[in-house]
Amino acid sequence: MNAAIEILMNGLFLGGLYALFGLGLSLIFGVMRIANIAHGELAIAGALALFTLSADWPVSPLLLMPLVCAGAFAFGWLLQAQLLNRVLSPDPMPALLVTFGLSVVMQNAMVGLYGANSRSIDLGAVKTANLTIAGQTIGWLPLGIFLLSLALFGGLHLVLRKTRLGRAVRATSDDAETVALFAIRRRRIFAVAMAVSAACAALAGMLLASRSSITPFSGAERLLIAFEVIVIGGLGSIWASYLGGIALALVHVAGFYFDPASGLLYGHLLLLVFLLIRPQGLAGKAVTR
Amino acid sequence: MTLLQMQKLTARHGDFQALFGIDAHVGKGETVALIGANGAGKTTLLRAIAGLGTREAGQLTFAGQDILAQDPGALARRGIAMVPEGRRLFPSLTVAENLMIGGDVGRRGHWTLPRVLELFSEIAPMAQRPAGLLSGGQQQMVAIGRALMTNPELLLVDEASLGLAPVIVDRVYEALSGLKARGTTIVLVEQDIRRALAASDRFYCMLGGQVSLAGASDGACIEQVSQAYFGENQ
Repeated sequence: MNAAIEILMNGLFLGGLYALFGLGLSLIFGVMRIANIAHGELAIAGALALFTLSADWPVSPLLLMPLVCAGAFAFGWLLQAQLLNRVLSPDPMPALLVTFGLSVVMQNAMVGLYGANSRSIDLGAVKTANLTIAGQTIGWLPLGIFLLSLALFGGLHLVLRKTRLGRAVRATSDDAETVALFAIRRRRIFAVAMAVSAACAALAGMLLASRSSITPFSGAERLLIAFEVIVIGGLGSIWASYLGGIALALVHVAGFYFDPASGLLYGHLLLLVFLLIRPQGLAGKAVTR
Repeated sequence: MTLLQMQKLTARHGDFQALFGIDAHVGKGETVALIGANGAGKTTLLRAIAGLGTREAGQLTFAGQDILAQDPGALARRGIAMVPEGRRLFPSLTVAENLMIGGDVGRRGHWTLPRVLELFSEIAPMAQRPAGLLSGGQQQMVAIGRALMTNPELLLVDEASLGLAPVIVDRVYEALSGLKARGTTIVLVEQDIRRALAASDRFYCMLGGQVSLAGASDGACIEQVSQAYFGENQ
């Protein structure tokens, strides 16, 4: 019984972080119909940027995270406005190749600047602090990451549903040509989406590096997690990513509990099961051709 | 007073030239019908006026201002709104959100969300429903309402009757006639010749990307129009 509760709680908390990885990728795919292959590298670059800032500024890394997110937001905007908007076409291949190239360039640049060693962000006492609820010991850090991801998803949900910008983003996702008739500049909307996606990726990377360790090569593995999250959750709503993140994390945590040598494998198997049986994901709608 | 003027306008549809030197004008408050068979260039002309597609040469003026190089967003802010062929609603947005997208253009005027829902009372109870779940007729009303929410001076309507039941088409044209009575200038593309002539003051018949016949709709000779519609040799 205790084991089941432990798996559920750890899966739930890790799921919030996974969902954050999936969110940025899902947003870009939903709005622009392109897969950003550099998504994992954006996450790792965020974490490495935090290392650099922490080394120079003697304040808690937690306080520097918003600064890194702001930088990632600006980088994402520039990336879209100056590079990806130039190659957008009904054919997704050019944009896909550009993001693939970007991932290679970013990974090599990170290896060049930081070396290949693994690193972890030191949050001091926060990392080991815990509380006990109903006999279960819960770490403040995983709980905090879970609550932060929940708040971010909630905030993004409100922006998308209740604001003029959110309406424009969703309309552009539905029909990027027709929005032009209503003075919505789709390239600007794409830049907003990429900026938000990059900020989410950077935050996810920083939180990951706070929980465990990363190397400049960790991007590909994170991209795979993000893809699995959106395939398992489904497209069409940001909460689908949340659901996907929690489902994947539950399987990972249970997998590691019962089979420590190959926990991640069960996540990949879950992906295959969904592709075979329910390709639209948990929350997505079926499409017939 | 002429609101829209085209002189020797040429435009492309994808890789192909679809309009070959169109001369036409639309007066303020007029309803003008563009009629013609499939591929005649009606939709390309409407899209060219709205700033979509590739306008190549000639003159296109709106309220005396050259608009040939302006993008659809700038034209929407100037007062040109379009109801596209196939409605092109945003299916994941609710009916009210679709209408508000029109309002977001930022032109003030008579049309507000409550007034549009009053005009099309059929869609008022569905305001919070995703637009993609509505019937074709209801979607057409939302598409017209969305364009009205921009408070346009010129309303472009592409194939308002396409795929709709006759009773729904009657309702849509009744609404358009109400807009005309309010003084809205309308250009409508329609394949149903009789309905187009009945709803308009003047017409342009198009064939092969050119105007093959133009005149007043009232008293137009259907045989002559049919000849211009299908070409001399048909």
